[in-house]
Amino acid sequence: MSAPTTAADLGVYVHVPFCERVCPYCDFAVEASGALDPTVEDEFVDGLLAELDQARRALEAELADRRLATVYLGGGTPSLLRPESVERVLVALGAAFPGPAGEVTLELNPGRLETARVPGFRAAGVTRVSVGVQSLHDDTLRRLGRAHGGDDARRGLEACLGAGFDSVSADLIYAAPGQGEDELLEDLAWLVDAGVPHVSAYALTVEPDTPFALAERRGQLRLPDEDTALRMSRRLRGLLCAAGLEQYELSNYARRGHRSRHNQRYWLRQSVLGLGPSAASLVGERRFQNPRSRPEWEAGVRASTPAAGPPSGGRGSRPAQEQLSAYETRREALWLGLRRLDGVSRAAWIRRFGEPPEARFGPELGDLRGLGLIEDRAGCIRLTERGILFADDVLLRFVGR
Amino acid sequence: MGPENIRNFAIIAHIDHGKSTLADRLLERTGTLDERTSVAQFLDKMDLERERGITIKAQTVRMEYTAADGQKYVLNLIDTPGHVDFHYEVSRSLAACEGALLVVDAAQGVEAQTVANAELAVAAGLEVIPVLNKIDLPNADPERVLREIEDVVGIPADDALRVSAKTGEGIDDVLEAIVEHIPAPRGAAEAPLQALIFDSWYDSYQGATVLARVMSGELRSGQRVKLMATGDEYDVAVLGVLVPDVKPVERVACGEVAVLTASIRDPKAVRIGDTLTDARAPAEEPLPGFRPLQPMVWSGLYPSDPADYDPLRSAIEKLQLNDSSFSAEPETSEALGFGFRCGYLGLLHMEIAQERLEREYGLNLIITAPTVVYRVERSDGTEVELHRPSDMPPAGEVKRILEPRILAQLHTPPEHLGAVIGLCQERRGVQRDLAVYGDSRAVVRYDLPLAEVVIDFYDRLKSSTRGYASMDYEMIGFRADNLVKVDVLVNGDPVDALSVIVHADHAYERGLALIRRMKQQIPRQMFEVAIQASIGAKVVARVTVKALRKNVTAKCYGGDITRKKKLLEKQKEGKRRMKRVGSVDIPQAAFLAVLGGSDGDR
Repeated sequence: MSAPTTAADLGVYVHVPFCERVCPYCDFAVEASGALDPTVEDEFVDGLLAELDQARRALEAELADRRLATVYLGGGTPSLLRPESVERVLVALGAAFPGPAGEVTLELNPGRLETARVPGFRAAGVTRVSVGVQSLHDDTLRRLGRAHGGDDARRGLEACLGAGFDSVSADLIYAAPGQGEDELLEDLAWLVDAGVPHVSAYALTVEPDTPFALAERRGQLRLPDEDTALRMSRRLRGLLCAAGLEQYELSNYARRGHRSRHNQRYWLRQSVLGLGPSAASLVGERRFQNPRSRPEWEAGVRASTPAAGPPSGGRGSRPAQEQLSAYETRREALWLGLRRLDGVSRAAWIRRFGEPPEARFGPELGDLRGLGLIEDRAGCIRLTERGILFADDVLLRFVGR
Repeated sequence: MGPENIRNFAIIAHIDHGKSTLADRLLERTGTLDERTSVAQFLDKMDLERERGITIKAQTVRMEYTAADGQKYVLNLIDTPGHVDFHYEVSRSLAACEGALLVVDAAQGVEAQTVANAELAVAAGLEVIPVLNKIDLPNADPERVLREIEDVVGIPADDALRVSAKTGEGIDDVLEAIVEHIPAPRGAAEAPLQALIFDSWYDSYQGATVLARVMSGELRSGQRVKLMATGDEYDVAVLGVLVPDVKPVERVACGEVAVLTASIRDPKAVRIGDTLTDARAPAEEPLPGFRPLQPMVWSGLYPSDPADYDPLRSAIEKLQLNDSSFSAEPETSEALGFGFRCGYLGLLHMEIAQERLEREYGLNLIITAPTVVYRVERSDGTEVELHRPSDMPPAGEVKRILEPRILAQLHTPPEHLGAVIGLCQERRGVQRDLAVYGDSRAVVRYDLPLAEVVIDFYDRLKSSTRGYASMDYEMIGFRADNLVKVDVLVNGDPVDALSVIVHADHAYERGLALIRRMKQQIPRQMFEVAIQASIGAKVVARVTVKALRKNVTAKCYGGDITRKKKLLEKQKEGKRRMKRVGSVDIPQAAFLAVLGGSDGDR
């Protein structure tokens, strides 16, 4: 199931910007929609299909003959869409590209309504769900501003695990306000016992211009101290690894065969076409990004602006484009590749770029080895235990001036 | 007009006692300047001077006056810089005079610079005429102030004049007293030329302009003249007198004051105190008292924006042209980049120079804390001058370190005497003498290390005496003390730029204060950072910046690589602006915490 995808195929990311309400720590492109109005939903899906159509025409050469490998519906809260809407999108994608996609992920919020739709999503063609659990404790969930409770999360996960998906992932946030170490371990133990094969765990990051950032400035946010957060991350890793969920990326753990193929495309710099507001694409060596707000994105789609074509008249609808230089491509390949704990394969690098990584990054790599942040193991350059903790210090070497 | 009808005089005073206003009145009363053209105070030309009420560059003017005896006199007012930093320049200006008006505020009374200036005038053999100014003030107390002049300054005050420069009251008496009491210049008109240079400035059109008092012989237009300190020769191009604009003349006789240009293209060629003589019939000896100026206080000037380096360099060059006592040499600091090490005569001089650079040239400067020049005696008997502590020879070669000392004269109302003495003791001062005059004034003299005065002594003096104390000082040479060089080490690597020289008794507390200030500015890193203060190999103080435990931005989501990249780039930009010492990233703020002008928790 986790057979490696290849450069010649394609992933598609679909951004669904709707959320019942916006969490106070979130800085993604989302909008509070309450219960999603079916008219708005249908118009949105129409927009996605129109955009897909345009993209295929505009990127004809780049997309030709690419097999559809993965689809990922993220957000926002894609589970706010009705299963038939999800099906419409998947059918359109199936018609657009040779397939079928081996992995179709849907992010699911474990609310009661959404849990009831789980069989519907499965029937629509979803093969993998990523459940926004965050925590199994009511108090922590409340402080995170989530609408669901711990029982909702457990029921949602159980429903998914029993629905016949190829894989199920649980999203967790740790080092959340007021969260204790033991509480996190309890959550993890429950997930392991329940048989969840994939976990994404993120330390809470206070992003600028969010309600949490404001609360922090005012001294109203009680975050666990750094040492506690560090212990949490260590115990989390320890517990999951012991349970057979291997850490394969800085924040991701999976049983054998359950790694997210779609997310690995990003770290391996394989092509992904993004649809929907704010969605980012990398096709060949071209990066582009849709407008962040839904109205702007819709205006662009309506004005028939090809997603990656030459700029047309539609104001603000033009995707932001970036043509990467050979040097920048290599730098990205390094810092994205190093996020994977397998690291960057030397042989694959040479095959791809015709030179060893040291050809351009000798001093940086030497310095990082000297600091004990990276190591050479099994033909790969990868983060050490220490490098995992200070990943930013490593990645920083390969961005900016 | 013969020398018997010439009077050369200066006006000397403590800051704000009304020197410039009195000069304005004299110019008006003699018709040299009418009231309309009198820009508030003509003599203080520069904005900065007017704002601060002090005179930086001496301005000189020739007045004609018909006295009560019916005779016409030429009165040359030779203006003097008003501050202790310019002691030497003051003494040269005074050497060009036969008399001085000692202006004292009738309310404030005698202050430190009143005494310092009066002492210089007396030492120069001048006739000193006390002038009580501001007698129109309701709180004027002429009787008390007269007593102070006699007791504190030590000159008779019976004939003191009472004036209000503001209202013009008593100005005629001043003019008459100048004619009556100040001696006419003497000097041999037939002897070889000796002219004392007491001021000069530079512009790119005419080169140096020189003000000189003819002490013997005479100056003529076109004359071949020689600067005796250097031996350089020039032809006088323009010769004139200041009325107050330049009025060209054919000759300036013995006893008079001349202004001249001579196509002197090197701004450093003309030095205050030097003697000008006739190149073809030179005097045998120069006039006494010449010495080259030595900057006593140094500080680094760096552009806040490295792109401003060139504008800063040209601004410094321009400033050097009209301030020969300001010196500057290029310097590269590991922490602050390219800049200049600048030398000043004293603290006020430093402040003025820095303010002029910022104001007149619109530059934003990083200014490091002032330091003094040390002398180091090596074991082999040779001596080196240290402009910065990092130039210290290896410990094994150092026999002893000498530091510049000053003799400070501090005036204060007696109720604040305790605070003044406390401050001086804390700064390693040695009391010379102490006198209390009545219940209004105490004067204490302290021998102090200049290094202890350069940082925040003035501010502390003022704040601990509610602004009542005043101070004057003079350099009294170098003396050895138990001085040590304290180095700052970051994880064992010395940071040269941060070394300081302090007294051994203060090494611990100063070292600790310094590294504590630094610690607050160093962000946590992957590893523990030890900041140490050491004397040689001995660590005297240590603080620790705890290690950062992790640094992972976990999320890399939705394929938005561009955004993630921007976040990382921002983080990186922050790091890039830091200085790497060993493996530690140190932000500029941490260097400034130690080097900067603000003195923090000293």
